[in-house]
Amino acid sequence: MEKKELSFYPESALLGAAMEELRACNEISEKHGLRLSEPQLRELATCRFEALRATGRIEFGGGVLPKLVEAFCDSPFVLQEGYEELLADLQDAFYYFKNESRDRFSDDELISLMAKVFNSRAQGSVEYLTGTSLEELCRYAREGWDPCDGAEQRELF
Amino acid sequence: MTAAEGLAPSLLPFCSEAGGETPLMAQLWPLLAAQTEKFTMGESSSVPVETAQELFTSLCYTLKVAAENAGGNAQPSTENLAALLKEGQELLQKKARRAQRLWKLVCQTAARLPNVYYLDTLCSFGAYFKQYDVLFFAHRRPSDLDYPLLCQPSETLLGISYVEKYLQELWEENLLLRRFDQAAAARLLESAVPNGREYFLNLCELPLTNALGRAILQRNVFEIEISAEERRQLTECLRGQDRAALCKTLADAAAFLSAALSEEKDFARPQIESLTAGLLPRLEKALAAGDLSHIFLTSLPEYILPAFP
Repeated sequence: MEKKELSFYPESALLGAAMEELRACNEISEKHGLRLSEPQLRELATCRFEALRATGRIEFGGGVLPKLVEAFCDSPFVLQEGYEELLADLQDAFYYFKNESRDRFSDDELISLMAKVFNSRAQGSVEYLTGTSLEELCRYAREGWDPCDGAEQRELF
Repeated sequence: MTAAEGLAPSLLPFCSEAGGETPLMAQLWPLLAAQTEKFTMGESSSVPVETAQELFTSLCYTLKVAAENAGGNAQPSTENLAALLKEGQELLQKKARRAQRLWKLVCQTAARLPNVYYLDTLCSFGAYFKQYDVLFFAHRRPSDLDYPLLCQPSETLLGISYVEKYLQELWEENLLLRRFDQAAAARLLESAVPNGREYFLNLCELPLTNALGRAILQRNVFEIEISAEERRQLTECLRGQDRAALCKTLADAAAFLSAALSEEKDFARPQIESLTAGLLPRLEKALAAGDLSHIFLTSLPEYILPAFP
């Protein structure tokens, strides 16, 4: 994929701001037994810039990670083990869906759709979520998911 | 480097005055972030790079307009870039209103010659003024200005500055064209190009070339007909002249034409000079071939031509 960016993008200055916001998120996620260490915070903040470059987007301020933490930390499928990788994958998926939707969804709307599908049909599988198209994501979030519905179960396999 | 990033250094003198030693981009970044937040209405923390680039170009263009406006004073009246941006947006709104008035004037003085490029270009300004977004995309120009002017505005001009210059040129061409008999100009166009209505051609070009030919012969330049006899005289007059002599003949004819068309000093000089510059190499080749019939045209008899609308 062609990488696009503004040549004067102050990445280093924004890295600090992003880490600061993520540190504050630990307070929320700790209630659910989830915490990011300092190296993990740095790694995630760095991943954010890579994701932005890969999707050809520019972000101002702290980024979308705090919102993702807030939306996903209460999920029964999220454990401390693999928490950092999950957030990195969700972040990648978020920017991908944002581009796919041509920015027609606000950040909050898109995160809400992702969380809905992650907690229902995807059963906590970020791999399933990232393999879902935007159309499917919208449809699944709109229609809901019933684990007892045999027909729907068959669609998964 | 993008157009916006190229534009930014031109703001440097003003920015250093407004923000001390802070590097230019560091001063512009918070402003761009604020603009982006307004653009997304706070609903999105990120935007595609293309959108950010457009917002940045618009920002730089608006600041440049304001800085240039304040340029006459030793001390700029604004204290910071945010205030300068607001000032720039107000200036651009005024410029847009002025350009809209100029557009109406251009429409009122429009040549009554049927040409789709000319008419479509005139119409396209209406949609442009309706959609012009001074807050976020002030640098955008109309994308469908197809009509070729004699003196095309510089491509470095952006937004409403380009539009103003384009309309100014178009208005001057309209005034120039109105000096000649419209029916004769229409006949000339129809004779020169079959289906001239859809031909990509400046409407002044043919009448002005013939008028220039008549100016060389010191004849009445308001009549734009060139007869076979006059063309023969032109060939005799110009034959044997080297490039320098031809240049001088054309320059003298341009001055004669300009003075004859209006009492106004240097009337339509840039347009006439642009035309003569393009005419010179063609004229040299045509003289070498001994045939000027494709340069100084003769209209076909009226009964052969389609009815003038």
